[in-house]
Amino acid sequence: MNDEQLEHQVRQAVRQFANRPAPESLRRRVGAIPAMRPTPARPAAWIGRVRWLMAAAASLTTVIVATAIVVVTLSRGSAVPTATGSPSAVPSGAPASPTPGSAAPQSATPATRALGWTLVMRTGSGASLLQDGDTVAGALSFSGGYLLAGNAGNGQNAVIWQSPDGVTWHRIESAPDFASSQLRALVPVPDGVLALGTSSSLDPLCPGGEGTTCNPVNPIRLWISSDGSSWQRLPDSATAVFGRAQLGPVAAGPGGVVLFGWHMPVDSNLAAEPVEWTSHDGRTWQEQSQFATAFPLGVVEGLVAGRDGFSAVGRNTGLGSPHAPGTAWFSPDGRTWTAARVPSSTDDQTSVLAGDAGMLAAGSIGSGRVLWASPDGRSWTSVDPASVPFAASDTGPLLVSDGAEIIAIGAERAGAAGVWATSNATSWTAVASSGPVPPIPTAAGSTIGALGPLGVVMAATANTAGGMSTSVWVGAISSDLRTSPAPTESPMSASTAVPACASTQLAITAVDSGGGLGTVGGWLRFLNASDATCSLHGWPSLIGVTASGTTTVATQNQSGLLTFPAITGVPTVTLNPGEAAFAAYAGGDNPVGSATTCPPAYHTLQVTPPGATQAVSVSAWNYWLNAYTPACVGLEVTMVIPASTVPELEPLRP
Amino acid sequence: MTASGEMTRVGFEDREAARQVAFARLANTHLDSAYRLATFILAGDHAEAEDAVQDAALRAWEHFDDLRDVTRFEAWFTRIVVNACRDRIGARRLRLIGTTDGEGGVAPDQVGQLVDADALTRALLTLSPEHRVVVALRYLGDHSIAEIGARTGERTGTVRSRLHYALRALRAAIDAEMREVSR
Repeated sequence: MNDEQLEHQVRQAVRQFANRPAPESLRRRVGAIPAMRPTPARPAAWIGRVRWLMAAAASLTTVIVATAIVVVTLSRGSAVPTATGSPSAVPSGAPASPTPGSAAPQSATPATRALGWTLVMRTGSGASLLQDGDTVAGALSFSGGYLLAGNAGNGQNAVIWQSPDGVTWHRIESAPDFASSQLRALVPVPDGVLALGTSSSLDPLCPGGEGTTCNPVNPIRLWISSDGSSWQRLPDSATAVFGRAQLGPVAAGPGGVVLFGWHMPVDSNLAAEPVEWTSHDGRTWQEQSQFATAFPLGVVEGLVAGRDGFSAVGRNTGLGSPHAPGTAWFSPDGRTWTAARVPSSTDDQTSVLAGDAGMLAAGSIGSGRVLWASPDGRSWTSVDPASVPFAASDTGPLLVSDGAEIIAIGAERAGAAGVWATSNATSWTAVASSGPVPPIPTAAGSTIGALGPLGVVMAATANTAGGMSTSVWVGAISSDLRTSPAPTESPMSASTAVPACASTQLAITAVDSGGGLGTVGGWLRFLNASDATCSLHGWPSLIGVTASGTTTVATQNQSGLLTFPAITGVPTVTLNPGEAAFAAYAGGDNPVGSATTCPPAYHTLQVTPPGATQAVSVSAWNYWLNAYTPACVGLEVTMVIPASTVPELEPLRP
Repeated sequence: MTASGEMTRVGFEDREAARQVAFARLANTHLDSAYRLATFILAGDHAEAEDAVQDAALRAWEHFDDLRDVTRFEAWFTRIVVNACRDRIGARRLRLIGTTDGEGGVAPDQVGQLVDADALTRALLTLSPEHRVVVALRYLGDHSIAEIGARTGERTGTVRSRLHYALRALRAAIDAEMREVSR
């Protein structure tokens, strides 16, 4: 064996041995360090350095803050205005003056103080990332980015959406058996992430579906991924332990993963029984019988891992009854459960969230919502609806938590959209928002979300007369805690009354990559993901960024690239909501002159729509070449043209 | 991605907040590689690795002002992680067995892993921590000898000699296994 072979083997063995990403718990603890332990500020010369530092941080990382419009300062160590009893403690737009030295108790101070909202995906005509009929069932903050799990079309095909940064998204449909499965939830496991779902088909014991005497079951399926993008399905032998069961809620804590469900007898005259399974790694599962024995009518609808153990909420009346007094259970280890002390309420509690210093449970009945708070999950008290800053209705707010804080995204009682945070489930702090706070569907619809180091991801599905629409928003924890008034986008083109599209209105993706004759590139797609009509006129700004951060500004191509059509003049493209426009871009893959190699390839493209001021980053991966866009001869980009003039882009892949 | 120009144009009146965000983002970006490095140096003890990286992040935050060039964050942070791992080993928080040179090797709860592992992995885990440090930086982090020196505080001669020794030990382990198989 020569040295090269030896080194190759060693490299493989080392990487195999240390292959786990940092656990979410560590990521959370590290992310909290600056807020938990403010170091004494060194006043001199900081401002200039910080600006430069932030610029460097932005280029070094893939973290995005796509908007920069936050106005409220809630600086570290200032008195944190709690919103208890006040509909709006800190009206968005009104700077609060910091009062150094009057530190609020750390345990009651949520870290999130400002979120910059961006609509990142939306169903609509021609959308490829999020397609008509797509629904989202699970959300998770994972490895510094986000994962969403859901179903495509008629709900028969599983889809994962993966984003390393909240702005660049990938649609993953090609995992094993995704085409015949449905996804329900995502949960972190020690060596990555676990996706829970079912087969799209009913098991053979009850093939006819729901009848008078037969309980249909879609067999449970599980997938595991170490990176969120490549998925392996666990074999049937690993999921045989679930038997004929219906999936319930799942949660991951320090001791492992806890999953609830119901054993479904074939004969529908027999009652379904609650069942619990636990796993250390998400791969091997053990059924736990204590809960079912102690609470045979227990229906667990919400589950969370808190500081001291697992908390479950639901009702105690068996699976058949839709509304019943709520109840809760607590387990220090996820295996042995006791009934928690709960207030009397009119409805079951369907979700539970954990903060650093308290937990919140929520249920809904009619058009109202029943909220409980608890310091530890063992004993719960009712929350007076008048004591929370938001209107608690059957549809809102959306509540998300990361184990350290709980964030509510919803509406004030006066109706204005807002965001609030708490770490003890009792005292709420208003969170400033830049960009429009995403609307929570008020009628038939559902929202789901997750909170992580980057901020909030939220998927909302609305059922309206026009059909079902889904949109995905990201609220990035803003670096810009206090800024001058919002930077305005460039004035609209003089030739049209329709305003220029702002970056935040558009979902920008690179599609249909290809190449030939020394040119490698693709199309930039500008989808109007907003509710307002806007226009695009001219050339986008395009910057290629290599892995090391080297940037190249693209030149404006006048004559046409790839399959760019012959167009006279520079069109103004009007985009109604859901419509898209395109521009072509290309780099070269042949070394120039006598050179034999090319500079490092572009890993990302920073795209600024014509007339806009904010850049959006998209991956520079070229699927045709199966490599990043080569940088042999720089970059070119064409003007934006209407979708109707673009040759058929097939497949419209990422 | 927001262009860096956007970030600078806005300005940061709240200096402390800007520092916090900058640090959190940099640490978040380099957390996976730091954790993998610590996992390897600490012979697969994930709990110890988690604690070491958290210690390192805390130290890094406390000395964030000392980092003059933010583009050197990775090298600076890696060095702190390596030192945090050394501290953990030095404090005998790992009860060490199977050492090759008295510097410490495999923790008792990793012995089970060793039984199932191939000869190369077993040999990797029985390297001394200082040898694991250079092996990890070379083969996990793909760093050059000089870069490893910058991340360990060692002279390049020391790094080169440790790497040489480690590879010799690993080659011997593989050769021994092949002899075993062919016997």
